[in-house]
Amino acid sequence: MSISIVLLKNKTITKVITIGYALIHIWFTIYCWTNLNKTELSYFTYNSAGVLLLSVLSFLTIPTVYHGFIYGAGDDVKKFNIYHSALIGLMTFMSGAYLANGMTVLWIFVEATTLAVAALIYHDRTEMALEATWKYVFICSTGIALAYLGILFLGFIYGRGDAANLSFASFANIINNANPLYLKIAFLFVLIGFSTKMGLFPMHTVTIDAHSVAPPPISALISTTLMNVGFLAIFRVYTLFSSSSILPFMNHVLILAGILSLLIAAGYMLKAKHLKRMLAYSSLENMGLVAIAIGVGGVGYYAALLLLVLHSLTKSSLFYQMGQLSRVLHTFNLDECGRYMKLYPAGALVLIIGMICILAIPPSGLFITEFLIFKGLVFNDQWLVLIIAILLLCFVIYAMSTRILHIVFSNPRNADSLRLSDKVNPVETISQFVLLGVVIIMCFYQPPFLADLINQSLALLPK
Amino acid sequence: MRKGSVFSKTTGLVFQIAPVVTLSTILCALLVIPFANQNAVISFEGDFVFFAYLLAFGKFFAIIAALDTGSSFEGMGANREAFFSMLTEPAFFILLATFAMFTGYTSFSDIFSHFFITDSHYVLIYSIIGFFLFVQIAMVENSRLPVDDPKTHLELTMIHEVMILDNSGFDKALIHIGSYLKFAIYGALMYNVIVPAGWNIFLQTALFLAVQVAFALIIGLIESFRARNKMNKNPKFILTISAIAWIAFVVILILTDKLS
Amino acid sequence: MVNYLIVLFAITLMYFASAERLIIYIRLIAVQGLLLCGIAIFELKEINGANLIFVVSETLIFKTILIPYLLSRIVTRSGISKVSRLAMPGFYLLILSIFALLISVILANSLINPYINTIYMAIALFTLFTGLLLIVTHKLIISHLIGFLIIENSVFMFSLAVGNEMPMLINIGILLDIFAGVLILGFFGLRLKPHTNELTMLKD
Repeated sequence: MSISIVLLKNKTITKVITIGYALIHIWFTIYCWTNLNKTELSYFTYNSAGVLLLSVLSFLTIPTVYHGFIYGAGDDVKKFNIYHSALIGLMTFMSGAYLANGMTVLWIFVEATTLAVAALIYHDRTEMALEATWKYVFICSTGIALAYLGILFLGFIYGRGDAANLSFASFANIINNANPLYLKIAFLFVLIGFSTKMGLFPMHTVTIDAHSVAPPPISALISTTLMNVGFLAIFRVYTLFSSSSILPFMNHVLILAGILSLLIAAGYMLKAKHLKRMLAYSSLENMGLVAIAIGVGGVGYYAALLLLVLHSLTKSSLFYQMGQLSRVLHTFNLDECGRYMKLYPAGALVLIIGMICILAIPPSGLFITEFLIFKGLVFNDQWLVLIIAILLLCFVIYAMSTRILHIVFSNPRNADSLRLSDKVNPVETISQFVLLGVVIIMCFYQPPFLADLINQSLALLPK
Repeated sequence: MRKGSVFSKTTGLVFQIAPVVTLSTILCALLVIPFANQNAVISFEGDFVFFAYLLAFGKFFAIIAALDTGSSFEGMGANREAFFSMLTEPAFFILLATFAMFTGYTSFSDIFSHFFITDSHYVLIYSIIGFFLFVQIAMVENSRLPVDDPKTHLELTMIHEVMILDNSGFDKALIHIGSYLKFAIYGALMYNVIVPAGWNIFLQTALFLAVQVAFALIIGLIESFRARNKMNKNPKFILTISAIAWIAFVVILILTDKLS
Repeated sequence: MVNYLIVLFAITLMYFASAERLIIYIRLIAVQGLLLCGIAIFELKEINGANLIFVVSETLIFKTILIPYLLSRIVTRSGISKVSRLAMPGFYLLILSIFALLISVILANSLINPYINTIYMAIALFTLFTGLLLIVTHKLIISHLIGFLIIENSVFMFSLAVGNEMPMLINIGILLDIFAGVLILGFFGLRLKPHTNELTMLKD
């Protein structure tokens, strides 16, 4: 389908095909819901965690496509086609990664997503985009190679037999008699390798750069669903090893990585001047929280998955809003933005509600998740971690709220650089309101099918 | 009227006794090297450490004598000389450690008398590695090309020559004789590595002379065909010798099946 | 026979730490490809013929011929100065390389496994460390690329070690190789200047 887009030079046909793809994707997700835990084609299984994240992805396809059309309205046909074909490719690869049955299949799909994302980041063809693309491709490749080393180490444990896909089911039996040093090294390599995708501490730098340079609808997609892919890979390995003796080691490593991610996010966000970069650091912070949640265990597992889902919805709506902000204010630089409420009230409202949601201030669903994480930390007597995490989150709240409130209400600091703004149709913000509304509703009421699905994903983990 | 040594007024006791100390340490180090399957004059466990540090002791005296003259120029040469010796020391020790590892003994005499007896297929490889490394170490220790040019008198590029700039007469002769003796010592070590120790004594003497002459030829060839390294490339060059020694260690670990 | 090839491989790695010109790096990568091909031929006796031919030919074509050719085209086309510029004096890289070999030998001895030969583990770990060191200590992007290729060789060597039992893993490792080839082609396509060392535009 993506190849056909590139070949046809017509914009409207591209739009039609893309919308058609989005609908197929949604239909496919519904199909997965009805056939949970079935294995298909011997490479893909509709396991619960994968289906959960897949439904998030399909929920976001329509807004992404819609905003992509608006963003690309001024482009020439070739760029438009490349953008959309790469977008379709990316969504396909991500779906494949979510549903993968074994480690190697997962790895192949993650590698494919790197290529697709690179084509998308380079959409603007500026020098900064070139630099970000090069860094992204290079460091992601190195990360992928390291992750492959981790998979190889898993293969060493497995021993004889053609474990072509190293499916997770067959692994569970032999974990208990494996050398713990091997398990530790495999886990470390997999963590470091997939942290390029997830945006955790060891290799988070590429995601920051990529999110700040990519076109806003793409940033929305990769900042949420691609990080979910990375998380899923690490989570699968974690689930696999959780019945062996290295569980405390894994928890310590995850909590350490989480705290360091929080530290870096808080530190850099305090001096961020570029708005999309600030949002990228916020993603880093949330991923750090997810890592801490997994490391805490117990209640934290539920909180981690819920946090992922809600973060995806919130962050994507904020990024869509950034796309519109760029059209209204023509700049992303903090010093030159201001008086947004006067210029575009609907968008400003989205920004404020989005800010409340993502900072986990009470009517937001993320508040529930953070509360659960803190509860878990208190249960485990990890007071130091709790205090450091709360402190760093305070810094993050300060940094982000000052910036967004400044943009929305006060005058820009460089008063002479206020340019004429285009008239932006407030209808475009409907999608963002919908997403934020879902997040707020989730704070009060978590639908049982969602809770069931999350609990099913956690079935293999120790209580 | 015979020429005597001239001593500068800024020097003290150390400067006057240094050349004698250097030569005497080298002569003592000679006593540890075995020949033709006999024990050396002095032989005990771990005597290669004794050997290395005797030579280092002599060099130490040369260095402090150079510092004693009070000339910053000689101090610069002393600095470089100390640095380069520090970089070759691992090479020597790692090489001897590999020999000690696969023969199982720690004294020069025992190592060399058992060197060719171990029934391993790869002994020839060990000899060649040992020979190569000894040549390189000898070239660096005696301040020869490509590390240091004994003929240069461009002031900023001298290393060893500048240390002995203030010596004259009999003392300078002692230093040169020391250098020749060091060459002979390394030649003897090389000979021990190449020639099996169990052969006929006359054959061994003839081979010994042949090896020393061949060594001299090799030095001549290397010196004629190479130019002096740029000064900041020297540390890397010397450290590469240590790296090669270390790789040789791992290779011998692999080949003797200790690593499987 | 395999042991000799592995030892030669380790020697090329040490050479990386002490070489200065980029052309030598490229030649070393080609030599490494050749050595890996030889190791593959001698080691994988138990997998079926078609797979073996595929692995050997891929190693030969990609690692030994195609990628060094592309790299040398990049180097000559950009007119880059032949000396690679380092972030720290070249001397320290050699010391770190020696340490890396020491650590990998120690690690290999503590990770003894009935399925994998210790020599493979030691040298593959050494390759991994050398690749990482090369990426961290060099400033030019093309040196980073070469470091990445070395890491890939390490992964390939690891997969060869268990290749007799799990041939699929080698094939997937080759996929990584092809990916790297695409990367380098992309390098061409984007007309990136390989002596760019100031990738510092994206700052806060």
